[in-house]
Amino acid sequence: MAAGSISEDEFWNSIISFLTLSSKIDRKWMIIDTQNGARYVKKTEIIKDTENKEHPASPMDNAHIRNNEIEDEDSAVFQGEESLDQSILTWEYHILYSQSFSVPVLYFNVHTQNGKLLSLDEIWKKVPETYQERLSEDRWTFISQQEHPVLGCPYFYLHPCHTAELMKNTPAVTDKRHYIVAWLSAVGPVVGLNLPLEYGKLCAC
Amino acid sequence: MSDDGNESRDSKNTETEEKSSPTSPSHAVESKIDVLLKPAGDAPIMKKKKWAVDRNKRIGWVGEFIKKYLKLTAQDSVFLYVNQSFAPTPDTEIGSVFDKFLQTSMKMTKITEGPWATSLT
Repeated sequence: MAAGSISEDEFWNSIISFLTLSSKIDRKWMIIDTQNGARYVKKTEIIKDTENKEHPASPMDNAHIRNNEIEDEDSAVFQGEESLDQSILTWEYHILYSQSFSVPVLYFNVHTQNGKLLSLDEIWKKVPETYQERLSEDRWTFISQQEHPVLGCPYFYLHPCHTAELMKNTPAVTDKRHYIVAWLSAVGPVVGLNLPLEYGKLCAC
Repeated sequence: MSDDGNESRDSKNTETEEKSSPTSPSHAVESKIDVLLKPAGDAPIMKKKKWAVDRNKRIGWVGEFIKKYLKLTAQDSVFLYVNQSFAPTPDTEIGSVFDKFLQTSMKMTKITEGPWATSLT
């Protein structure tokens, strides 16, 4: 197995460690099991898009909305409006295992309340500028779109071809339980995914 | 300083922090944090490993600083990990990292572009 990659068993062990952390920190990640036996890990964030362009709304901000708050917002917006509130965006992140590259892969989509998917350009505009530079400069954060291996519909994903190269130099390689945290904390920010500092603190050796 | 196990390194780092940070009673919080950079993987060794950094400087700033110090190109990426396994987001303040982890011993990973760029020296 190439340096920096992990076996599927190691992947799921690391996911369990990761989900244990999530259950203590933000409880946002969960395993989804499908009828045909496939499973993946998912996180959903619902963010209200602000009109202020200096602060584009992405999960990097703290402008999170709980479901009951969204209902309040909706009732205010619905007065005389036929369409749903276009400013409320759902950011979805999925972690799957790539058999070909023996590394985790991050799939993601952002959609409005009426189900319209944002294009990559639109997503990029939501990501803070500091991360945009990184995305364009780094060769290992190549984003593409393909059919989701489990769901079958189009999802954006961070191409896994450079993940092993990234991870082989990471301190976590010695303890594979920390692999997911090390990987996700490094690649997540370029697509608006933030892991709070607590993930590093509880992930102690 | 010998490069022995990380745990002993970390405790050395903590001791150093207590000695060198400002000790006047009016400073409830240190204004500068000692950051110790250790290379991981292919990362080059820095001659100066310990840096005093303002606590409100961000991780991204430290990364850019390292790139300039090591004369890396725009295609090279520097990743900073804390506690062996976690990369704080670039906009995280160093002060927050110190407060959370009570030490700022960071391992730096460098990724170069393509197999033809294997060494900087």
